[in-house]
Amino acid sequence: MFNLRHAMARNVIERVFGVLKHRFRILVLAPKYNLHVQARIPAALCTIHNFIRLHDAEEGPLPDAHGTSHASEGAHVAHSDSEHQGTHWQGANNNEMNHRRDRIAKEMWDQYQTVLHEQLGMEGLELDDVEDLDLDLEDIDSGAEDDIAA
Amino acid sequence: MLFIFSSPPFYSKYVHLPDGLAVPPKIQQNPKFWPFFKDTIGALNGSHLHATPPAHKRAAYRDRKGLLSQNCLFACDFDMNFTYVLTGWAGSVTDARIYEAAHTRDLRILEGKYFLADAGYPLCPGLLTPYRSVRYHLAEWGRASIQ
Repeated sequence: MFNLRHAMARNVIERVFGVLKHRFRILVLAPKYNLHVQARIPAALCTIHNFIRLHDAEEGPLPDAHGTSHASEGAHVAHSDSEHQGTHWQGANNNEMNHRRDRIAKEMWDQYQTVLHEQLGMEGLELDDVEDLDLDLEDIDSGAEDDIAA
Repeated sequence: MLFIFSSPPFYSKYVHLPDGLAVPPKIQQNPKFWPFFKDTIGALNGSHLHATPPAHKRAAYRDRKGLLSQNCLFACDFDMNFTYVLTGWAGSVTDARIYEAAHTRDLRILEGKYFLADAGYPLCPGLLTPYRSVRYHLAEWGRASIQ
């Protein structure tokens, strides 16, 4: 759950990459300049991108991400693990951040449970559904440990 | 022109980290993110851009997909403006290594604030990464639209 929302919030940078690469096709090609020139190109284009964002009011809203489905988000989350297993460097002081992440994940989960119970409370009026919903809840509770992390 | 755009003062005028005083509206207005990500100042990720290095440097620029590229680190805010850019690293260098370099160079993240980054980055002050190796509970995916 934490990872899903994290990915949704992070989605903005994937979109901005898309916009940048679409706007400046040179980024998709391999320009045959000196290396130090090549290194400067993305930085310069990012600056221009920001410049346009700031000064061109007519640009309008950029293509939104709402078209991208949750499924593709999920795929991205799942891949990121195997992609980066070669990474060993860890910041020296990551304990504090670890606690913080656990705290955020727990808050998210607690709030989600509250909302879920409220909704069930409302739907509970229909007697036929109650049994099914109870079963669902048990399922969820048993998987809670995993889900807090997710 | 290239150097004008990629150097101060033009560069530093348009690409700079947020002051972190205000919570991004995109976070505040979305109940899925608020108040959990209230201290986030944007998202951070690396991207491989194609490059053509000279022959003797090709090995270093070969990325894990087998293409020649430079690995760049970008950070942006939730309004799709770039806030930090570090470019010119060889394609074989990992994302985490580039972040480390940026951190020691000039990437200064305010105390208590952080970027959202993917699992390729270390969990450290300044970066909030997802949990690694967790399995999703399928029932939750079906309910993802509830809130």
